[in-house]
Amino acid sequence: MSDDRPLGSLAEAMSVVKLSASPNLSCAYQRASSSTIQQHRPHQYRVETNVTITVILPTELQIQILSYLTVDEQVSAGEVCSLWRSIIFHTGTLQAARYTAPGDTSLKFGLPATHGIFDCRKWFMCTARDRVIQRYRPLDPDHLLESEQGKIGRKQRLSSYRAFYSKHPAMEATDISNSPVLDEPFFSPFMPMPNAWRDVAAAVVALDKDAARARLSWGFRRSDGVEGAALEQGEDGMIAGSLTVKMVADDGLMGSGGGDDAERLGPWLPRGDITVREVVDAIVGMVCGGQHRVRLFGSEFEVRFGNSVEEKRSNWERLWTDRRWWPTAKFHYYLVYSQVYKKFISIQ
Amino acid sequence: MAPMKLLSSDNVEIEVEKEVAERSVLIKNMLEDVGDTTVGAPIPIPNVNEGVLRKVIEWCEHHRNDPPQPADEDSDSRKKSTDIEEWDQKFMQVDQEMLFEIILAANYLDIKPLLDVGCKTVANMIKGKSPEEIRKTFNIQNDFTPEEEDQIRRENEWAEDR
Repeated sequence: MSDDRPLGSLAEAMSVVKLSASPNLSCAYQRASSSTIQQHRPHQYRVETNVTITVILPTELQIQILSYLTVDEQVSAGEVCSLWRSIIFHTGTLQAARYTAPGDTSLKFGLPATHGIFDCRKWFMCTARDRVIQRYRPLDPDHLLESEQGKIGRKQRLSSYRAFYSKHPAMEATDISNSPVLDEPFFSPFMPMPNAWRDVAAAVVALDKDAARARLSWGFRRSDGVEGAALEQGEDGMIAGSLTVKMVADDGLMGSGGGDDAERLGPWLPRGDITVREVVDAIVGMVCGGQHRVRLFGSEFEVRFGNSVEEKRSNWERLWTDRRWWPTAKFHYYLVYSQVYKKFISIQ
Repeated sequence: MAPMKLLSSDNVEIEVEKEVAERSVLIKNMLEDVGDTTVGAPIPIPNVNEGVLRKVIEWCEHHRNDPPQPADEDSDSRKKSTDIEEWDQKFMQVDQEMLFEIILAANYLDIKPLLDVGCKTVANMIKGKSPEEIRKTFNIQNDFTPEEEDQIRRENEWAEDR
């Protein structure tokens, strides 16, 4: 009978629970019996261990707490336990918060809201060694935001980075190849988006005119002859409409030179169903595989790199040997670059 | 400044000014529904014990003159600031159990600004930490299986200088 199945699976599930719970239970029992006082109050043990945020607070309050985290911090917190993993990746409010926010410049210029992991202001950085996608700790986003708003100057910003990194161990790389965050839609499912390439192109032109500090960086040509251009990030860290993803590759190829520069991609041809992973994969193919033709959003792009490989090599060499740079905020980029560079040299 | 009484879950009466108690939307609504409270009849707060209730009242007293929060709240949580004013920071320097109790009490009593401060305090304890550090901070059990764990997170020695 079909009625047997749910019962059977329930019994199975129960036995699984029992099995996995028993080591903890026996441990609890041993601990409790080792103390004569606790022997008569076995629940005492439980009270002790349950003073845990995940047990004490109802889920909606945990959601509220986690909603204060940036995208990057959410990814970290999603690796803590299965409850937080499901809260972070399956709660609409938290997912919506991972996309470019309303009122952001990208929307002002009519560009679609994109996944926050590509938000250059969070300085998401990943490498693609052996096609494993890794995330590095971003620079302190609060300070970035402050400097963006002009509250603190460049010097102050650098010293605050230093303070930040002396407090927190920098350079923690985490493999996020299997993170659910990569399987989220690239374009916000919560926002309307322009459906014509023309709109996007027009918005970029408008952006270029309006934002005095934004410059054209490099261009690409689609297989159907449409040309596009990416924008350079302004000094203030604001970049509207285009995406900034920093990728460092096994073969030492990277978009543009060292320093604050990073690979710049976009604007993209919007297509609703593309995932973050597809975009990252395309970038991996381009910067890591050295492919100059990339298939993305259903179109083929031809990519032109601004710098020659030779230039990149000399840049990295300089950065690696000049240790004066190390205490600065750029330290962690340089360290990564230089590792790549060293590998690059050893291949040569 | 009419005084009134609250009764904690452990049956302790605490005297508090009506204006202060009304920082709690729950109590405020209750008073409105009941009308003028007869002096001497304490309002039972069955979910909050004395220690926590006193702490919550302390917060309400300090913030008694705060302007009401703007109703139109910024739903953009990505830019939600986790800044906490100095007094509140000091106020929240308690052990985790008390911190969670305050959050629960603020939620139950419907004191939104206090709830926000509590949640921000916890969020700040999460920020800038690795998953393992977060687990240690909150005594959270890593309930992933080794296989899941391996899949989720591979420590990477490559980034280290060598």
